[in-house]
Order: sequence, then structure tokens, then C-alpha cells
Amino acid sequence: MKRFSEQLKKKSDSVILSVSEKRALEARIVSFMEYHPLPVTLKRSTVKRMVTEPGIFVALSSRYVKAFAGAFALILIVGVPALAENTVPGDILYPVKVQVTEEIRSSLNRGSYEKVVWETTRLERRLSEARQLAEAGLLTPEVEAGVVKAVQTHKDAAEQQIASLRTTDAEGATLAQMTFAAVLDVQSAVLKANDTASTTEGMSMVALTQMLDAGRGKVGTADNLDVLTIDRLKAQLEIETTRSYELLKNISPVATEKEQKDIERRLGDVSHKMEKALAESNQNPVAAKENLITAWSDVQKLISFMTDIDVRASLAIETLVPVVLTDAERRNILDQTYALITSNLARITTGLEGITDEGITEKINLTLPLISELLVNASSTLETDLSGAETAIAEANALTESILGLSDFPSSSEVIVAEPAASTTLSLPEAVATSTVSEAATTTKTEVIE
Amino acid sequence: MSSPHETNPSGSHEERFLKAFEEYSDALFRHATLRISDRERAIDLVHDTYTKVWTYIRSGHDIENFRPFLYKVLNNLIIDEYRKQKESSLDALFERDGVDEGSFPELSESTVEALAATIDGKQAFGLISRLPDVYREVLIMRFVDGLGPREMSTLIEESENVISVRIHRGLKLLRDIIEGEITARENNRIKPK
Repeated sequence: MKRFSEQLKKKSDSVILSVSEKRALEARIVSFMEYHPLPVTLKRSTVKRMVTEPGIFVALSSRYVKAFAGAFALILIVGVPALAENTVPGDILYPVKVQVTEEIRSSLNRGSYEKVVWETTRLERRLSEARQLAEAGLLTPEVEAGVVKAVQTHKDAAEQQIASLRTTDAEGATLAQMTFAAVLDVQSAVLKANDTASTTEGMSMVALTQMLDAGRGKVGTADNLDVLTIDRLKAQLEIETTRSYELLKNISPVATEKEQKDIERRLGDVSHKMEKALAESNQNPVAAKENLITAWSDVQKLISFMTDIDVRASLAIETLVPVVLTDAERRNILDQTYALITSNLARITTGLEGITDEGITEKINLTLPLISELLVNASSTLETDLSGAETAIAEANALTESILGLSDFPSSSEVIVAEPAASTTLSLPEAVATSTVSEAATTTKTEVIE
Repeated sequence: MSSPHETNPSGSHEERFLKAFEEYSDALFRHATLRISDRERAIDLVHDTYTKVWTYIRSGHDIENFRPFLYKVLNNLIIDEYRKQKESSLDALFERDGVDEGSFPELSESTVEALAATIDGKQAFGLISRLPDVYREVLIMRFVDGLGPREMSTLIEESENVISVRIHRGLKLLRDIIEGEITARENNRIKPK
């Protein structure tokens, strides 16, 4: 029976919740707990009862007392924390938000990783409050000192949790560190975007920015990246991207259509990076890991962008997470630039006949073969080296533009572009192909433009 | 198992409850998945199990030992699930025909062991879903969850003798299913094309 039992058990042990499933399930249950908190009486069950001193005794109907106590408890449990949630330093209920609600949520996070994430969120909250106060002109030196101290406290707490996590889960610690670094990057960028150093408020923002940058430098080192495996990174990225799509869905009522499209586009870029990394994980694991780490940073920044309204208001998403063009999009841009170059070359060829300055004519005649050579290079490397083709086309475009600056040339509408040049696909234009490439080979670009 | 308004052995209610999630959620999920053969639904049942237990704690009860309590709640939910599905299963046939299960006092642990020794556990894992739930339930509890006869007896609310009979019958039926599979495969292999 032992064999049967062992075999069955071994097979059954493969039936487990995936990391993402377990986290999602835990999140659902914790959410249920938050919406259905324990009654005050239960919370106090472990607290030693106070012995009351004899005093004046007022007889009240127990029904009224219970009703009053119930209403009071409801206000205490639900109303006060809800009201406190939008407070800023200086408000009466602010201590409830920081010392009660946030501390309860802290206690609900058991894992060090979750604790780091929560401390990072608290840090974001403090900075957001500081910005609100600064905008309202209410950032007094006392409040400012309090904000700086609170930010420092949360930063220290996050760093401590990362260090603690490293002893039990080095990979988790590195992931937490990367998340923390990404958030510091975003917050620092927001503070710099709102930089108003000439004002009193601006001075405090500068102090906060410096603190964040110092913290970023401390956690941003790649010493611990070696312990991070591609599998763990991939699994955690899947969780984070799923969370990102859920966040995107949640903000759809408040975000503009363009914002949503921009975020969706970048989440798509993250997926492409992941696919690319996984495809090359066997051949080039180092590059694959780098791609996944970049994807991780992008996702964290996007999460900050979605969850922090100040970030959305202060930073363009392109600044935070630039779009990564697909190969098809890059080729499309190349085709468009190519079409522009051929159109300009037609203008140059037409206008060349009317130019009387021999020096300019000579320069143009020397430059045209060079442009031709670049376009030939671009055509030949288009399939094998897209970056090389882009460089060649960019140079060809710059040279064409430089010629156009030498004299007055007819506009595009005045020029009949030759049929092959009107093509939108990248190929050698006839007008240029007739020039001798060998001539261009002996002429440097600098000489021509000068 | 539990009693209202008992004192906490250690830690807050929240901490103990979340610790129980960390410790038993995988085992409960495994149990539910093997019982109902539906991964997504199994996750929902585990979720419902924990939320029901939390509601129970909120009503002023304290749970000394989470494991049997969680299994009990999950087991009830799985039974509800079967009722919802209204499957025409062997369980239903048993109920209709009034088969008496508790009539094998001679069954002992050694006979169960002897029977289990004739079964391949790997094959059993793939075919256990074909068993009627009354058997699947006890086999999973016994061999996957590692519960003892007394604990199972409390959970299923049947005598230890009935549990032993069900384990024995379940193993026998499982062996028949495995042998049937092997015979079917053999027949397919020798069948002329």
C-alpha cells in the first residue's frame, strides 16, 4: 500500500495553485476581510478589560445603549477610516489614516515582498500628499519636515524588508528591489517635472527629490541580479501584467481614451519584450534577462502611472515608458522617410538646372551619389539589419535636407516625381541610381556639406 | 472543534486566519480539484471555504484547529456542488437502492493494505475522477490529504467502519477501472486494421 499511497500522493502533489492563482485568491480573501472586518468586541477580546472605578451611575435603557453603541461602532469602523483616506498632513483625521488604517493594512501583509510593496505605496502616498500641500501653498516648514521624515521612514522600512527578504528569498528580494527602484524613478521624475526651485514649496520638493535619488542610487545596483532566474522573473511578470490590465480596466471611467490606448500600447510592448526574451532565453540568457528586467521596470512605471493621478498629471507617458516600435512600424517609418527623400531628390534634380552658383552645383553633384549609396545600403540591409537601414536612411535624409538648405528649390507640388520614386517601398530611386557611386565613395559627407 | 467566544491561543484572529490560508490553501485546492475535476471551480470553492470560515469567526467563534474545520466546510461545499449538478451518478443509485454500506465488520487496515498494494498509484491518479464521489472522497482524504479514519469520520459524519468499507470498495472499484482500461488498450492493439 505504501507504494500505491506514495505514487498517488506524488502525482497529486502536482496539483497546486500557480503563484498567480494563489496571489489572486489571497487578494480576494483579504479584500473580503477588509470589507467584512471583525467587530470591535472581537478586536478587543485579547485586550485586558479595564476595571471601572465606582462613580455616578445613570440608568439607561439597554436598547438605547446597544443602538447607540452599534451606530458608534459603525461610524468608528467604516465612516472614520473612509473619511480619513483623503486627508493630508495637518487634517484632524490624518493620524487615523497613517497610524490606524495603514497600520492595519500593514499587518495584513505577511510576506516581506508584500510588505515592501506596501511600504512603497505608503511612500508614494506621502509624496502625493506633499504635492497636494505644495500646490495649495500649505507646505509649512513643520509639515515639510514631517513629510520628509515620513518618506524617509517608509524608504527605510522598505529597505529593511528587502534586506530581511534576502535572507529567505533572494530572488523575491531582488524583484522587490527592482519595483522599489522603479517607483523611486517615477516619483523622482514627477518631482523634477514639477520643479519650482525658486519658491519655498520648490525647496522642499528639491530636498525630497535628492532623498529619492539617493535612495535610488542605493537600491539601483545590479549586484543581486545574478540570483534572479528567468523563470521567476517571467512568472512574476505575468502576475504584474495581469494586475496592470485589471488596473487599466478600473481606470477606464476616469482616463481619457488616448491615455488608455497609450497604456494598452505599452503593455503590448511589455508582452513583446517578454516573448522576445523567452524566445532567446536558451541562446542568449543574459540578453533575455535584461529584456525581462526592462519589461519589469516598464510595468512598474505603468502601474504607478495608472494608480497615481499626480503622475498622470505631471508626466507624459512617453517620458516614463517610451513606445517600442515593432519591426513593421519601423519599416513603415523607413518607407515614409524614403518617400520623402525621393520627393526631395526630385525637387533637387529639377531645381539643379536653374542654379548658377558653381560652388553649390558642385556640392550637390558630389552629394547626390553619396545619398544614392546610402539608399542602396538601406535597401540591401533592410531585411538583415533594420537598425543599419534606419541609420542609412536617416543620413540620406539629413544630406537631402542639407542640399535643400543651399538654395531655393521648387516645391513638391511643382515637381513631377518619376514613377519609381513615387513608390512607397524602399528601393533605389532611378534619379539617383544614374549617378556614379564610385565618385561618392571618395567624398566624405562633411566635405560635401561644408 | 470550535466554541464561541473562546480566547485566542496566540496572535490576532486575522493573523491566525491568514496563516491558515498560507498553510492549507494548496491542500484544499488539491482536494477540491481531485473531487470535482474543475480547476477554476475548485479555486472558487476554496475561496468560498475561507470566506465562510471568516464569517464564522466574525460571528464570535474561535477556531482552535483550522485544518479539520476548513476540510469540513469545503466538503459541505463540494456536496452542494454535486447537488447543483444533479448528476445521475452511482451515488444516486446507492441512495435509491438503499445499499447498506456498513456491513463489513471484518474489514481491517491489513485488507485495505493488501488491496492497495495491487493498484498502480500513477494510473489511479488519472482514473480516480471516474469513481463515484463517495469513494473518491474517502480515497482522496485517506491517500492524498493523509487524514486518519477518526478525522474522516468526523468530517463525513459516518462511523469509522463505514469509512473503512468505502475505502475498501473504492480501491476495488478503482482496480476494476484500471484493469478495464488495460484490457481495452490491449484489445485496441490486437484489433486488425
